[in-house]
Amino acid sequence: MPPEPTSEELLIRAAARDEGAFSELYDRAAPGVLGLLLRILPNRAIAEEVLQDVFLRLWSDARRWTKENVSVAAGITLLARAKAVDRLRIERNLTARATGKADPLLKFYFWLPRPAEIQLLDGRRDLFRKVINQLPKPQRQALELAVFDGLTETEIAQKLGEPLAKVRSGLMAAVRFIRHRLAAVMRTWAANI
Amino acid sequence: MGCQHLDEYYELYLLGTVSEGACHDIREHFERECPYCVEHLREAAHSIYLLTMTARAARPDPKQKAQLLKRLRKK
Repeated sequence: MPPEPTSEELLIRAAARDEGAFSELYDRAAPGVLGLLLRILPNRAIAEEVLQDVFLRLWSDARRWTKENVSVAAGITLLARAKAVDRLRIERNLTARATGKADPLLKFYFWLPRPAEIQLLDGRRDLFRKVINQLPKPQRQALELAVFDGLTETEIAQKLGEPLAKVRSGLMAAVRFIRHRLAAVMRTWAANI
Repeated sequence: MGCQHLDEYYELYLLGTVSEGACHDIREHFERECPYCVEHLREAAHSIYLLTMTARAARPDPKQKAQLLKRLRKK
């Protein structure tokens, strides 16, 4: 039996307007993306709408993704999160974000993770979960509000009733910890990180 | 100007969490394809990817796929 094509191989075929390959790619990637969207957005109808937008963008930009050697899993996940957070803010009747938004960068693909990098990370997701669980609870909570509620540091401070400076330093400490641990995770297969 | 002052911000920038000052600097470096910032943004994207992957997968309604395929045929 021939090996299953990678998502990037399917995307090359989709870029050549192979609808069957795109359909296969959807079957493979959509459940993960929808799970993320359901975690961020208030209801399934909106999540499915955003899911369609994400895959339409993938179809439209398939050639560019392929040319830039983008990891489909990472690209689509980052795009989905950015779109979901923007949509969430519209749903909350907020105008454009007072602070930066990820989407301007997502008009470009050259900086996104490569397939080999994500393949390596996917093999270490369990270790990464352990890393997240090692974070102090207030830091983990603030980080989850940033990742899944799309809140800015000011909004997180308001929500938690904490001073902005404390929230900011907590988020930075969490990110530093994750970055440091991720470097270790990438170098090991052992569970004792 | 070097980029080390941005080290703390790449992940938080991608999350849309940080103040405008840091955002402006990162965007400026990104626009001129600063190799240091591009590399650090890519590494930050690894962390964001893994953080988002902690969400549980969910099966989409098959009607959604049919509708999507219909829409892309019109494109």
